[in-house]
Amino acid sequence: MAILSLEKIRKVYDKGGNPVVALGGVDLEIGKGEYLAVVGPSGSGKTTLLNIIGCLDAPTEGRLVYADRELRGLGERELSEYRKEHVSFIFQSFNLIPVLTVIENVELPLVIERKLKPTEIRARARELLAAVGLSDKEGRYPRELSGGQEQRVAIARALVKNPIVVLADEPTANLDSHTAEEIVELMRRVNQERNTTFVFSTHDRLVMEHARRIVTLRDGAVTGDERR
Amino acid sequence: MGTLWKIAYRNVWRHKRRTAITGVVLCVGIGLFIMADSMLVGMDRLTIDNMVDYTESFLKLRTPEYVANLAGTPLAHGIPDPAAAAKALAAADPRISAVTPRTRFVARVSNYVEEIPVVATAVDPERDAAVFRIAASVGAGRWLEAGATRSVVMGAALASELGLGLGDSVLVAANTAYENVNADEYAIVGLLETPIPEINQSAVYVSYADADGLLGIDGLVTELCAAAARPPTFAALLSGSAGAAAAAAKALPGLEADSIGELAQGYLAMRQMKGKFSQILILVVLLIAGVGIVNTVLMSVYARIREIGVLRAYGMRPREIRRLFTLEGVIVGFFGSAAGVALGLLLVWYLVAVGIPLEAFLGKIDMGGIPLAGTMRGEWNLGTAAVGLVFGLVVSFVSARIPAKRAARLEVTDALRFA
Amino acid sequence: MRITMLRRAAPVFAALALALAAGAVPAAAQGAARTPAGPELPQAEELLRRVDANQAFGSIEYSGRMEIASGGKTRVKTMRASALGDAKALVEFTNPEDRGVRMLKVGKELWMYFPKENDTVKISGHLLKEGMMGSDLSYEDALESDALLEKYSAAVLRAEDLEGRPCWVVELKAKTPTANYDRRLVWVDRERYVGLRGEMYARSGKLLKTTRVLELSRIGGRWFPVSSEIESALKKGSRTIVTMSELKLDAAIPASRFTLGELTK
Repeated sequence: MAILSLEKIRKVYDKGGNPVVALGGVDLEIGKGEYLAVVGPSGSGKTTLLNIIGCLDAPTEGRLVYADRELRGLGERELSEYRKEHVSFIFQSFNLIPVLTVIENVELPLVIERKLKPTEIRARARELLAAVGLSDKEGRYPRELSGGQEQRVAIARALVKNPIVVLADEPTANLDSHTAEEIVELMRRVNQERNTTFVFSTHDRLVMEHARRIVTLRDGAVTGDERR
Repeated sequence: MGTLWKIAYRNVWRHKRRTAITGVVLCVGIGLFIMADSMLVGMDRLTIDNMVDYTESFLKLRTPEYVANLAGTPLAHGIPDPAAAAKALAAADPRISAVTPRTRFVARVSNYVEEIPVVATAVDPERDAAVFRIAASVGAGRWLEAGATRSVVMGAALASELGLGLGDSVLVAANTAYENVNADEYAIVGLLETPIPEINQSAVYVSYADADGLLGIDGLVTELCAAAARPPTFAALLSGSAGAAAAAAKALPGLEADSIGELAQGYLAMRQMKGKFSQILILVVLLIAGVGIVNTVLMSVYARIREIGVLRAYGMRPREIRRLFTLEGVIVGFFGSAAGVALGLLLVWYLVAVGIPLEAFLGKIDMGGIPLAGTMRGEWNLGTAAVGLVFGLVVSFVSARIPAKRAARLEVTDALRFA
Repeated sequence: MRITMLRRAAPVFAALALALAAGAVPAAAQGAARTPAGPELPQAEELLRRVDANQAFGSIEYSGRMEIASGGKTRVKTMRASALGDAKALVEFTNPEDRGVRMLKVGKELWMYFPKENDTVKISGHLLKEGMMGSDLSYEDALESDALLEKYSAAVLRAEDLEGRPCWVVELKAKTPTANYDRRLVWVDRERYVGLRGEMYARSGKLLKTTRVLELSRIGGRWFPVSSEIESALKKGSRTIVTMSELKLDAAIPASRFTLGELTK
């Protein structure tokens, strides 16, 4: 059963008075535990699609249903709740908070969520940090880490609240190929161990090779949907 | 929410220079405000102290008729049975430590060529010295002695204007109690150098016995002046004097007891204008500091747009973003204000402990009749320091909210795309 | 405004005061105490009565000129003055600065009229007691006439020559402390029965001012002072000289001249 379903999603941006169609009617169903890569050339609408799935951006038309719940038309408050509880993000440039230590960065989503006690939060964060193999770095600041280590912290941060869906926008673009492989393996492992749904956009062959489903976008339309 | 604090607090210290500049503006502004306030209170204190010590005393007892005719300085409307009244006044309030009679009269002093109008005062030399500091301000010569010794003590500047010195005779002419003119020569036995130019330039003191010879006043006392121990603060002086005056008025019905607050009314009214000036000063300073905080927080917002995107993506609500950046401004404001309070209190400490010798700073300028002279000392003003701190916090809060709101309004996707 | 006008008015008072003082001093002696002096001295009362009679007039009219010297500067005022006895007097100034300013005395009341402001001011109460600026007289000098009678006792002290004229020296002593001066000396010409010199003393015994007749004129068989000087003893170089010319005694002057209506006409 699909955890997320997109029906005829259109997204039109207004660029200096001229409408630019970023997505032109995308239909997509994403099942629980999928490991899905969205590929396509620059400007094909990959980031827009991820933003819409993550409710960071609202579609111009179409339906977005998450676990049988229509998301389009919800207020900022409900969307924040949705993001807070069910979705996590991994970014191309890691986007760790520079003034927080590694452990504090990992804790951040739980702190925002405000559901657990500080001691529980700390315990969960430690657990995740161990899972990405960075227990020894918990007191460090992001600037003291390598790019790969930063992205591993970002993954730990993304997973700490046990999200249903992790959205990763070009997660390896800023990494060398060796590190990229480590990160991909880590994501894959999490996907398998925790049954977390991963949707990521990528250019990276390596990332694509690990994907079990590859959705190809071109000019805002799905031109391929290949399962492996 | 600890992490919010942490993010805000650490960001404040991450940009030390930016924070320091804003903080220093706030610090200096609030520090100067506290100092200026202390100085203004100190100026008031000095002025009022000088009035108490040299001209008005702690409180004055007069007949209502005399007060009504004050401008004419009449030799009439004296206090009935002044000796008994003085005793009653001394006993009326525990704050009153000494009482002395005085009778002021208009006179002209001359060297037979030049004539200068003066306000002369008949005093009881011994008792006057216990209330006023005139006796202690004799620069050359000595203070008056009781009895008709045909001698005067006068302002040094007045004497020198007449070309007269110690031991010379001065002609004093005055309208008597019978409204006719009397004139006589008196030996100058003392020259006054007080902090009050008015006294130095146009005051003459004679003993009651001599005044009686000149004016035929026959023991007429137009005012009883009381002394008290110097209260620690300006406010305590005013309230103490008012309290003592109320007690005196009760003990001596039919007579008018005026506290120093009433005696110095004209000056105190002017002081309120001065208060407005310092309020404007603090507003300007805080406006500048406010602009600094707006700028600091705005720069912080621009430097961290993507961070805002991440926080939003993880479900942080706009109002929490706004709170985060407001907090940053308030933290800068708190440290700036706290440092300002510390600086201000340090300056106040200097003013209290050391003071400013006004003559060294200003020279002998005429303050328009205000007896502001001597060493000006500040007064402790913890209330003002607290006001400064609160003002600093309020201003930083209000200022920080402006850019913080802007941060809260950012679109998440725009924020994340921001390079 | 009022104060300014009064200051301007001061010299006017001086003029009137001097004009009236001529008759005032002798009049003071009426009803005075008997002198304790030796047999060759005349009775003070008798002497002063004769002076009074000599200087009394039914009416007087003259052109006056007043020189006020003070602080090294001299100002000149000129006026036309007329009086009925010592109860009514009217003075109008004719010098450029004060032209048209008039003052009226009726009994013990004084008014001033300022044509530029078209304003009449009554000088009363404590204003009368103010010291006068610019001249050596007090306001009350202007009004003091028969009031002296009650305030001084008189005695002839001695015979003395004054500038070649034989005089009696008469002493007036205040009977009450409210008198303007504690003691006065008047030099009365033994033959012409005119007060030639006066000295005013304060309670302290200090000489306050002196008056001196500079010129006498023989009018209708009697000697009348037409030029006098008042000099302050407290301030060197401070003196006022009043000179009368075109003097007419006992001419018919209508009493209607001395009314408030005339003052502002």
